[in-house]
Amino acid sequence: MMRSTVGILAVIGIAAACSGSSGGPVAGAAETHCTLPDGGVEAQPINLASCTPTGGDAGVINYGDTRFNSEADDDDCKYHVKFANSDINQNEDVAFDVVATEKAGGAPAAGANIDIEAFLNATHPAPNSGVHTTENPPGTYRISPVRFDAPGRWTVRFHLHEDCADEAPDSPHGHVAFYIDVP
Amino acid sequence: MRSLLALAMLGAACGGTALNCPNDLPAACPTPAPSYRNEVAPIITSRCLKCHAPGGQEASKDFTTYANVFAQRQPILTQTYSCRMPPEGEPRPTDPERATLLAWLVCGSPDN
Repeated sequence: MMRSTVGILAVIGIAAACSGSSGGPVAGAAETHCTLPDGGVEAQPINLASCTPTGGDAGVINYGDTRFNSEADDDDCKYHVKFANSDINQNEDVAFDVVATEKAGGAPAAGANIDIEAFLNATHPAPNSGVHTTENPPGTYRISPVRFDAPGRWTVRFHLHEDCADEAPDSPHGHVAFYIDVP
Repeated sequence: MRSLLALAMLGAACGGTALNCPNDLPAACPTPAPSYRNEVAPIITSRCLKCHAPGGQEASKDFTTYANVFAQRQPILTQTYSCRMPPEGEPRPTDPERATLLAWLVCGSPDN
């Protein structure tokens, strides 16, 4: 009995030693950029009919801050986005399971064809790994395989309806970025 | 049966990034770095400004000045490197143009 217990503990110890710890989202303060001063919630309705090029004023991309944790509202308060990820290790394929809902009404953000953009810094994007997106059920997306080729604190930005121009306020185009630590 | 078919179609419906996009990012900034004025700006003009200029389809991402390009260098790099841009249906940069643009971006997008 004693010998088998020691054996089991040894196996557990070896397994723990070999598995190491994988990376993932970075814990931090919950984000509240869509919370109004009076405690209400800003929710920008979207209109699929506004998915058209409009040729608005020229400027630069206005991305919001990169978010902590694994859920947040998108930069324009159109969507709530949360995700789970498979184990994250350097140079291993990672899958992101993303659930997106519309802030106004809470319906699943179906047909958003969520795309991912991952980078360590302005000169180091993630390698091309044939990333593709599938949706099932509506509003739930699997994005894979994503590969991180260096350790560090990465930014992963999810783009919703990337094929729509981002000009009209109710354009379905949306984006939100999260920090991801890669060991 | 019909619902199963609908589920299967839904699962297959979404696209993604280019599957055959090369991993050709320069490992380091070449010496000399490509010139923005002489090499990079003409590529941006011919490949991007149809949309990324005032009045264009992506006017909010205006690439008509160095300052704007520099401010958007990170998404320009990730979008170009992953072959998302230029979009399907638009002329692609030639291999030398792509190499020049990527090298300049890896160099930190200097105003040279």
